[in-house]
Amino acid sequence: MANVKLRNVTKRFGSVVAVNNVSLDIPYGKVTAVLGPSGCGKTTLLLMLAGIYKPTEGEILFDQLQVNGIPPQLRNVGLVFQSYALYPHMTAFDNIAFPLRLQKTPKEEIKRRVEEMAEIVQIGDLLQRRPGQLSGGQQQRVALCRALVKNPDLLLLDEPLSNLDARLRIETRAEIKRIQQELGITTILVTHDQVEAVTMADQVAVLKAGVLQQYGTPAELWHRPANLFVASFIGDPPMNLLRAQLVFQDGRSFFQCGTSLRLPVPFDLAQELQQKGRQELVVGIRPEHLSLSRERSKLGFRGKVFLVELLGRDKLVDFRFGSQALRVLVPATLPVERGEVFWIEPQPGQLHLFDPATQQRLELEESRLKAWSGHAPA
Amino acid sequence: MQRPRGLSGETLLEAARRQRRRERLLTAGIYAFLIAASLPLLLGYGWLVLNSFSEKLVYGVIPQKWTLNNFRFLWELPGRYYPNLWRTTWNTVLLASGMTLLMLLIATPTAYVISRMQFKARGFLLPLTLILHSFPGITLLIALYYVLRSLNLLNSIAGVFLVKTGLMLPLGIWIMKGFFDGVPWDLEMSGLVDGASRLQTLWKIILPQVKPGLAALAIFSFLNGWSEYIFVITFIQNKESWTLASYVNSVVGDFQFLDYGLLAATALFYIAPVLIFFLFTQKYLMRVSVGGTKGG
Repeated sequence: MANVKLRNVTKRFGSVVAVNNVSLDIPYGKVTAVLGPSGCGKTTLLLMLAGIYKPTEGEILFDQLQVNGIPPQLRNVGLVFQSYALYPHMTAFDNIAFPLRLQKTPKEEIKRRVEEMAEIVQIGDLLQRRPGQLSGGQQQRVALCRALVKNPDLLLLDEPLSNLDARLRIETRAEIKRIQQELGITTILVTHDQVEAVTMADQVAVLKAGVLQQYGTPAELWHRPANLFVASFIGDPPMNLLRAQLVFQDGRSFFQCGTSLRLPVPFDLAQELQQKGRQELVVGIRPEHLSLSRERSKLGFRGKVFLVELLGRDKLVDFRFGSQALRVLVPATLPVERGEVFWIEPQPGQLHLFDPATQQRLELEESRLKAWSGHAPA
Repeated sequence: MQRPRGLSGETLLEAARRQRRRERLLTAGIYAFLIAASLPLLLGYGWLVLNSFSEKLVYGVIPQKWTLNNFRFLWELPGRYYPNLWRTTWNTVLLASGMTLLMLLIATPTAYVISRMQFKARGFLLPLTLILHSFPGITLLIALYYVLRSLNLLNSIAGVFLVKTGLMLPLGIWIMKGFFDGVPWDLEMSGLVDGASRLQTLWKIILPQVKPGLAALAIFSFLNGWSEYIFVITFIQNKESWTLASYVNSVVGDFQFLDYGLLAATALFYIAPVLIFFLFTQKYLMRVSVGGTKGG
């Protein structure tokens, strides 16, 4: 098992910067997800860890040892490709045994270890088949087994669930997590699916255009997104992000979003923002942190239902204020019809404020945000 | 199926019957055309077979008196100018298989490097190989003669298959490059991560994926070497080193009289292995146009 560190790692392909000055400290024995949209450099990062690519700048450390120039075959890393990359001309057994045969492991031991590992990933009865005779899920298990059989210091998973159907994905997700915990192996998972990252990983690194956006636990990313990108990327349905202007009128304060949406703001918070010169803001609020009521509420605002989507357990209610959409997540049992008028109220302390220029989160005193609902406008 | 409105069952059946008749007519037409187009070829081969098993042909097509006499060259020398047939055949096999071996040995690693690796002259090398291939070999005849003479390779099978291989390599490299291009990078990376060296990965993982390509290349080279004519008769005068091409050539060019029966029989002897070989291997050759392999 290894403790993996990346220090200011940059990878360029010609003039294209795939990974830009990324530093990460990957904890021992945990699952770390590298999350980002396609083309953000996450697979490049993974292949650098595997030793296929060499960083242009910076260094990669496995337990203090700089491994930049060490080729993949000497790194003792297990890698599961998105395509699984099973060797089509070999049976499942031979695929799994391949890394061991290269190590010149004695025959009996190969047999024992392959069968042992096959038992863990539950493919014991499929070992004589060729990849072409296996389903996607089974191929994935064989690939995982091949990656694990040599007891790697580090397990790398490239989009391990993306080729599976929805049901199998949930099963495999739990399965990988179980195997990882059973073996206690340091794992790095690359994915574009935030649900996958949040459910499987202990730590998530969000990457955009090769630049690290935020690195933290799933809860941290969810509760305190560091910038607009992370705010919009984490969470399903995504966070409502509203461009707002701070307005004072008749001794009351509002966020004016577009022409027709006015979000009441506690007066002292508004004053603090004014003092800091924050007239223009981006206000973020998750659909689940808005509630609907038919009665007037102090910090609420009125909206007319534009669209209702049933998501199973929940309903996503879509309001439009001019061109500005606002989505609210309510229990599916709440009767909502298109065209109805509701009072929409944000839950206390669940607002996120961002600087529209830098896109960074505005750090305010927690107490101010917490006190949100307590302050009635004068 | 929705029945067209306003048509009774009778007329519908009638329409279907008409349609079928039209299709059958079209098929017949296509066959007629194909047969007509391939008739000259078939006639050529037919003439060869009939001629070789008969004493003579009346009006060039009707065989008279079946005989095996034309095949006497199999057990005796047909004339004092001729070398031993079996030695000649062996030489032909040597030429074809030497060329095959050399093609596989050179084209495969070259194609792998061109397909997989980035290096300075890569962009220039690819079109160059194609230009070399489009160069008619016959224009090089004299120059090659001097080259072979100075290398002391005149009158030797090795000299011919070296020249032949050199001229055919571009094609072989391109064929193999196509197959290598079809092997996913993931397989190769996977091999490296699993602990294999680059060479081990090539040998144990990549080559098994391009087997159909290797087979196609081997067959092409073998057939090409087997049927080589111009370089053989130019560079090999020594009868000890003749191949079947020179043998048939000398039957055609016999200055005393032209024995059509003997010519047909030797020609048949020359092409028969190729035909049989092709019959068994054509499914590999067909894959070349696809130019790749599928996983699974």
